[in-house]
Amino acid sequence: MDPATIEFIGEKCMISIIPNFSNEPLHLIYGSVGPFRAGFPVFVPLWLAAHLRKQQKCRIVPPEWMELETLEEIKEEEKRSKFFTKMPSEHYMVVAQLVMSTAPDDVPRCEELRTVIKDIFDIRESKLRTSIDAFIKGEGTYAKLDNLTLLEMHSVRPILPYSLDHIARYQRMATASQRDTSMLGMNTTISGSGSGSGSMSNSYFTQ
Amino acid sequence: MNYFPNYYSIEDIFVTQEKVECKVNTRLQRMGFLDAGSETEHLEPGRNINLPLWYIKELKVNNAYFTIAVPEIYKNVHKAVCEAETTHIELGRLHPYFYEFGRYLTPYDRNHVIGRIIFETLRQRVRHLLDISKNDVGASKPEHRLDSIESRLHEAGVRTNTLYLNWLQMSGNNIRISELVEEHQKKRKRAERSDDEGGDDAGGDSPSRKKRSTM
Amino acid sequence: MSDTENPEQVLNEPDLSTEAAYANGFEDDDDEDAEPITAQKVLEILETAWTNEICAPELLQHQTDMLELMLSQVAHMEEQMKDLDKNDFRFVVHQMELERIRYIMASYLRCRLQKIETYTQHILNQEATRDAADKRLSPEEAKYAQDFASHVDEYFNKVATQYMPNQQRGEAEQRIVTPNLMSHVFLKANIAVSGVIVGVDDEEVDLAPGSQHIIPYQLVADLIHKNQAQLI
Repeated sequence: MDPATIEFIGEKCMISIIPNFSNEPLHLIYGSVGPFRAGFPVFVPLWLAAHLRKQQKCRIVPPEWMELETLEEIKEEEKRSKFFTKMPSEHYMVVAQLVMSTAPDDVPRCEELRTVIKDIFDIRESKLRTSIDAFIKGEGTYAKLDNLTLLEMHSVRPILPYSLDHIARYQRMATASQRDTSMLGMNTTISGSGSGSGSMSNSYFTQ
Repeated sequence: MNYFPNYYSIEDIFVTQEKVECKVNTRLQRMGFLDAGSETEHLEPGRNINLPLWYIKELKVNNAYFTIAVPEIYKNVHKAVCEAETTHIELGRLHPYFYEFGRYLTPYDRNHVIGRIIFETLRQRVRHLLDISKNDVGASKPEHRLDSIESRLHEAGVRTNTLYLNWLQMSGNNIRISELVEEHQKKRKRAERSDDEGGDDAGGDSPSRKKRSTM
Repeated sequence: MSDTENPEQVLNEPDLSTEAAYANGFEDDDDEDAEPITAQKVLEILETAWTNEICAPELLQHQTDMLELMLSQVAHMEEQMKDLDKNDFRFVVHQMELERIRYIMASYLRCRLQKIETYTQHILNQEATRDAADKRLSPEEAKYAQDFASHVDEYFNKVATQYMPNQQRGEAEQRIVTPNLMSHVFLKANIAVSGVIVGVDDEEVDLAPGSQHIIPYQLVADLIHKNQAQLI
């Protein structure tokens, strides 16, 4: 899943716009939107909001959390917390990125917001790296990643799962060979012959 | 897709091309040619010879003919592994297929060292891999530092980071032609150039289609 | 709903026709009491199937029913849109949505084809052991897989194996490419699932709804299958 795909998925988020036109509701397959009344806010999917904004048919109303104080609080909370805190939107980066790049004029203190959001992302990303480190050192193959957003997961994808796959492969090999050869040891003691049944079969190597 | 050896994997073929040192245990009739340093017709017990992994791996661990010697490279990193100081090792210089070669040899190591070593080494180095692939974007590739498995992981990490940075600048957003088509076009261009120089017509190439309908 | 109606009206009231269409679609099924399913629900199912397919190392259950429902819904929409002006606000928006849906379906099918081409023989062998109801390949995909396998065989035979001694041809088993089912995946639990084995030593964990995990695929494959969890 690359950022473009993650953006595509995040574009389903609903966001408020203020249209400068009026129209009947639209019955999209994903669900109905509208009616549109000039000057009145209405919720639409992000992809539609971005499109209408580019056509200059609306203003985007930034979501409540896209506000400096709120984000500063989130940032502090994220620094304090040992775990990943729950973000105000599971696609906060995509929403912020799309809103701020298509409609910077609709977002007060846009540049400052951009910095804080980037900070939050970076804090979470380095937290992710630290916890990965602990997790791998602890010989785990399983870890909990609550509240981590798709784009944050992307920062360690596919390198992290791929690395874990290899580590697991080598671990299986090491343990299997240890087990198999100790069994072989037993066999040889009993039968007294070097060519016991515990020898490696070819299928053993297929991984 | 992640590397997972299979019959058609070129990389796996390269790995199994690697030579393994083994000791001859019994007199092998008319196999003297396997020992480059000897002129004898038969292979005598006690000789050390190098055999390719693709042959060795078909042998039983306790076969009567050869005892496989654990390559020095694995013994050499043992101390570093125990002290958890593996990040500075130039793994690629030690062996281009440090992990996969070791994986094949694991069952042949009666002391169960190799299996443990490759597992621990990668486990210790992953954090470092994550870090360097995030920091050096595209440009410098740590040639000797990484073995082939690590090198692939590193590439994947660099790619991820590039994609992310492009996305942040909203520059990667334009839908591009796939790498395959791009390659094909480059080849065509090359072919056309060589045509001009009087080269053979590449033939067979269908006209490249830049865009395909979505479905 | 007839096609002669004013497109605006039709576009404004698709819910009735949609539900009716799906109810009809399902009457052909074994289960006569199947509840009508909305287009929105079908889309959600397809979106999940799409991300699951992208993230899973192996080929998952085919979704022919859902794809067909969605394709007919898309066709239905396009039919209704054909009288609208191409610059009409409604036309553009509906068109954009249809493009998004088409992308999901195409990407989903392409991802499956990629797996079929990579693991052809493995998939065919597994398919042969499955009951009709549990088949992972759609009939079209099954045919594609068969053809692909025989083309590859024929090609190898032509360029190489026919010149090789017999014993070298008998490596059919060895040549089967299989996915690594122990590949690590990112998982999100849809509901509470208790007693999921998460490690080799049978360590068990309870998954809370909405919780996220990284875990070897094989340990959670049946949760995906039962839609108790999804890959992300």
